[in-house]
Amino acid sequence: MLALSGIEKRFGALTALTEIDLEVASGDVLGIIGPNGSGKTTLLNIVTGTYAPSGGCISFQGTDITGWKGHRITRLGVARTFQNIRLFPTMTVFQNVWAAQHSRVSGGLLGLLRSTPTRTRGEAGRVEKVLEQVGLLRDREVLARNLSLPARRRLEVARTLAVDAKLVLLDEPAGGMTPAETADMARLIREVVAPGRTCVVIEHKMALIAGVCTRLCVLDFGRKIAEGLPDQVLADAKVREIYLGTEDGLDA
Amino acid sequence: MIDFVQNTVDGIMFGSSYALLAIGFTIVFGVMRRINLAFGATIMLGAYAGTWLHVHYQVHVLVVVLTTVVCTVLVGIYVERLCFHAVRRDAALASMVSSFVVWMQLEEVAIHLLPERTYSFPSLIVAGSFELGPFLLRGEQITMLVLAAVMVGALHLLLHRTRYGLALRAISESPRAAAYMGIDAAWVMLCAFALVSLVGAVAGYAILATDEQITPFFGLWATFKGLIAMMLGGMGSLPGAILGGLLLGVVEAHAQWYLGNEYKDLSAYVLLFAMLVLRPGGLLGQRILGREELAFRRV
Amino acid sequence: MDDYVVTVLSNIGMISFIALSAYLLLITGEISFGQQAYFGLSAYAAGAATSMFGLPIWAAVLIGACTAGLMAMAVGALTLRLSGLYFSISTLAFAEMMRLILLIVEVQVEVDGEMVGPDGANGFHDIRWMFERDISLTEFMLFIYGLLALVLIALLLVERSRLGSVFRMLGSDDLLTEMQGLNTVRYRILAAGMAGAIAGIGGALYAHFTTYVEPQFFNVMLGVHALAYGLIGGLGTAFGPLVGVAIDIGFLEAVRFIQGYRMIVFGGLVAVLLIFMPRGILDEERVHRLKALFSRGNHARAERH
Repeated sequence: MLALSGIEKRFGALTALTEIDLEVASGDVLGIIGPNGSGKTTLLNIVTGTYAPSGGCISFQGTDITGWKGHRITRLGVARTFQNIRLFPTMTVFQNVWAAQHSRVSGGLLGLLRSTPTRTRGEAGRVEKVLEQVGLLRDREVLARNLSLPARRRLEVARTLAVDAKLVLLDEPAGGMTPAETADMARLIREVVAPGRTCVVIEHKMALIAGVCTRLCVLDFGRKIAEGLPDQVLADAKVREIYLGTEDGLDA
Repeated sequence: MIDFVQNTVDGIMFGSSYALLAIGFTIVFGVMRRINLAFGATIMLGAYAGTWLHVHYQVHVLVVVLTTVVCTVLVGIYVERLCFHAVRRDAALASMVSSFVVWMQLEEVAIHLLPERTYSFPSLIVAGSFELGPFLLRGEQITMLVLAAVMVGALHLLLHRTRYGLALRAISESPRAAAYMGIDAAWVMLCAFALVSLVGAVAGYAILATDEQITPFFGLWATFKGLIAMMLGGMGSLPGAILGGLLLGVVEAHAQWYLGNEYKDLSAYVLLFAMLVLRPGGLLGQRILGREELAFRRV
Repeated sequence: MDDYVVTVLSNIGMISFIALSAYLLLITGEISFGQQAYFGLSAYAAGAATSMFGLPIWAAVLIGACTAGLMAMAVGALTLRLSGLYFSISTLAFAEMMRLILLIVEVQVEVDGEMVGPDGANGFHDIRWMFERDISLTEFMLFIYGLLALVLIALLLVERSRLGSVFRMLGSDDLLTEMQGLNTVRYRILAAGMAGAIAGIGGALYAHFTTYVEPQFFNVMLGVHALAYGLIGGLGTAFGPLVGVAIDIGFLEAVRFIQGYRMIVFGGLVAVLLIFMPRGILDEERVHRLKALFSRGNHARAERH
C-alpha cells in the first residue's frame, strides 16, 4: 500500500530523518512510537507532501509520489489528522466535514458552483452518516471552535471518513485526553476507521497503541530502530530502554 | 560618465534621508513584526505643529525644532496605544489597517491646522553648495549624510551597548521568552515607538529644511519612501534599511535623469514590486517563509 | 430626486463594487490595499471602448471587467508566494505603479474631428456615452444598482456553494485546505481574478457616469476606503461591505457637523472597531447566530401549521 525507501529529511544542519525504510500493507494499522522530536510528525508530513524529502522515495499503491504536491496526494486517497488539531474554526461541524468532500466533486469549477448542501440531498446524507459514526450528529450546527477537545479530535477523524480515504494518518488522536476519552477514541479507530482502511497512528498512549495497532514501528533520533508485531517490539530491550529509560513495565 | 557619477552622488545624498525613514519602519517591524503605516503622517503632524508656531508667532527656529520633535513623539505614542497596544496580539494585519486609517486621520488634523497647500519651513543652518572637481555638492545634503551616519551610530550603540537595547533585541528574537525573563514588553514597545518617532522627527526636520517647504503630501511621501527602502533592504534589519535607502536614492536619481521626472516615483514602485516578486525578504533580510512553512509555524 | 441625491446614491453604488472586491479577497485571507488599480484600469479600458471605438455600454462594462480580472489574475500569480504583510505591501506597490503609469500613457485617436483618449496627467476626458444617448442621471443610477444587485446575488450564491466554502477555507487555513485535496494556487488566482473583475465593473460604470477619469482619483485613499468598508461591515456575509459603505457615506455624509472632520471621525471609528471587532460587525459568528435564529423561526412556524 505505502512504501518508503531510504527517506531522509534535513532542515539546514539538522537531520530529522535518516534512511527510513517502511512498508505498510493493505489493512494494517501501523503504530509509530518514539520520544518527542524523534521525527514522527515529520514522517507524516513527508507522506502527505507537506515537506519534500531530502532523499529517498515514496510510493503509494505502486505510484511514485515523491515530490508531489499535497493536494494531489490527498486526491489519491490519503487523509490525515493533526497533532495540534486543525479545523476551520469559524465553520460549523457540518461544513467542516462537507469541506473535506470538495475535491471529490466532478465537473471542475461548475461542479463546485452548482452543489450546495441543501440542493444535493445525497451529499448532506453522507455527511450526516459520518457525523453519526463519530457521535457528532447532535452538534452539526455548532461552530468548530466551540467544541470540546475530544469532540474536535473526533471531528478531524470524521473528516478523514468523509473522503473514503484508503490510507488514514492519525497524529496523536488521543493527545490531551483522559483515560476514558482515550478508550472511546481507541474504540472509534478500531470499529469505524480501521475496517476497510489502512491506518498509520502516531501515539504516546499505550492504551491506544495496544488496543488498535497490528504492527509497531519505533523511531529514535530520526532512525527506525525496531519494527514488528506490537508484543515483540514492546518486549525489545532496546525499545524499552530508549522509550522508557527504565526497566519498569510498559503498561504503567 | 560625469553625469552618472554626479547622479549616483546625488542619489546617495538623498538616499541617506530615505535610510533614516526606513530605520523607523525597521525597528518597529523588528520588535513587533508589524508595519506602522502612520509613520509618515506622525512626522508630518509633528512638523505641522512646529510650522504652525512658525507661521502664526514667528518663533525662533530652535523652538520649531523642539516642537516638531516633541509633538512627533506624542503623536507616535498615540498611534502606538491605539493601533498596536490595543489590537490583539495575533492580529498583525489589523494593526496595519488600523495604522492606515489613523494615517488619514492625522493628515486631516494637519490640514485643519494649516489649510493651505504649501508653507515655508524654517531651516536651522544655511549651507551653500561647493564644487569638488567637476561635481557639485550641496551643503544641506552633506549635513543630511552626516546626520544619518551619526544617528545610525547612536542607534547601533543603543541597541548593542545598553540594557534597553538588549531588552529590545530579546523581544524581537522571542517575545515569549523575553516575557519569562521579566521584560515588560508593553513598556519596551512604547519606548521603541517614542524612540522611532524621535529619529523620524529629526529625519523629517532635516528633509523639510532641505526642501524649505512643507505640504500635506509629506506624510504619504515619507511613509512610502521609508517603507520601500526598508523592504528593499530587508525587513527588520538595520544595515538593510541603510542599504535600501541608498539604493532607492540612487535608482531614483538615475531614473529621473535618464527617463524624466515622471519616472522617478514609478521607478521606486517598480523596484519594490519586482523585489517582492523575486526576492521577498529584501537584500539583507532573511528569506521569508513560504506559505506552507508559515502555515505550520502559525499554530 | 434632485441631481445631488442621485449623484450621492450613484457614488455609493459604484464604491460598493470596489468594497465587494476587497471583501472577496478578505474572506480568502488576503488584505489588499490595491483594488483601486483594477477599478482605474477598467475605467480607462471601458472609457476607451465607448469613446474611441464606439462600442455599446454593455460591451464596455464587459471589456473593463475582463481587463481588470485578467490583470488581477496575472498579479495574483506573481504574488502567490507572498502572504500577510508582504502581500498587502505588494498590492500597494502595484496600485501605485499602475496609477503612475496611467499618468504617462497618452493614446489619443481622432473621433469626429476631436482627439479622444487617455492624455497622461490630464486624464481621460470626453467619455460622452451618456450625453450621446441622452441618458439621464437617474436612469444610469438604476443601471448601476441593477448591476450591483446582480453581482451581489452572484456573490451570495457563490458563498452558499462549495466554491464559497473553498474561499473561506483558504482564508482560515492554507495548509489544511491543501490537505483536503484542493489546489490552493488555482483558487487563489481565481479569487484574485473575480475580485479584480468586480472592481472593474465599478470602474467601467464610474468612467461613464463622470464622463472623465484621471489617475489621481485611483489613489490609495480609494483602496483604503474599500478595505475599511469590508472590515467595518464584517467578513461573515457579502452584505457586510454594503453595511460598511452605508455607515460611511450614508451616515457620515448625512450628519452635517461632521463635514470637514470626516476622516478624523471615520479613522477613529475604524481603529476602535478593529480593537473590539477585528472581523467587523457582521462577522462569521454573528452571521451564524443570525442564521440559526432564522431557521429556528422557520421550524417553529412549520410546527405550528
